[in-house]
Amino acid sequence: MLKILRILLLVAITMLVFLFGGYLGGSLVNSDIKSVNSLVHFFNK
Amino acid sequence: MYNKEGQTMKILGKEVPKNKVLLAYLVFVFVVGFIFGVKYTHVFYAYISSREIASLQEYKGLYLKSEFYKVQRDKKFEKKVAYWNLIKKYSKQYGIDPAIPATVQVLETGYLPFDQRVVAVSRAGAIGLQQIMPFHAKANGYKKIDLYNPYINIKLSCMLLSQLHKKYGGNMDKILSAYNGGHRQAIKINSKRIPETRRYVIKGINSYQKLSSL
Repeated sequence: MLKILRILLLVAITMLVFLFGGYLGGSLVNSDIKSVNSLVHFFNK
Repeated sequence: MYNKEGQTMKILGKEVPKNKVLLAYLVFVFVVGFIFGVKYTHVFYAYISSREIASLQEYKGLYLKSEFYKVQRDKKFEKKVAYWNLIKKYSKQYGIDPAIPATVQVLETGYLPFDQRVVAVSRAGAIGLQQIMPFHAKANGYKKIDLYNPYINIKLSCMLLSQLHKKYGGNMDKILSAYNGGHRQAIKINSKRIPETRRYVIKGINSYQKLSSL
């Protein structure tokens, strides 16, 4: 029983980490920040 | 595989602490997720926004019995043109013939099946059903990813085409060449344009005549 719970926990954490990575990757590529200059501008806002 | 205490694992003949293995595994999963996110977020977005259209039931008014002739006409269009209902809606809004954006779609992504047209990206970076460049989206207050939404893609295309329609007085030759190659190509005669635009215009006028006669 404990083993099954452990496996389920691992699967859940895997999914969360995968989705978080996907979210970060997707928002990085599809944001309109392209140069260092605009990055500086973005953080200064 | 595990030792007595259960704190280390044997991997390739070496004893490695379990927590390090877990950390490495999670980093790997994160990196794979990141790559998938970079590659496929726009596909996911296109899928979601297409579903949104299906749920809005815009076809509702199209199949009334009294409009039998119109239904026939629309069905013929729907075989060739994806989201014909949207094209009709936005071309009416911007005051142009719906056959113009339909022609542009047939020219730009007509060789692809409907679902692939939405996520098509050209070598020059033009996106979606009507192959709109990202700078056009930014000029009108949209993001690059919005072009994968058929609603916005078709709306922008109709807007650009209506501007071209006004600029060149409804001359299809010039409208199509400007959509493909910009103003520089539009002001030349067809034999002096770049080969791509030349082919585009000849094919375009041909399919425009076919589409508007339907």
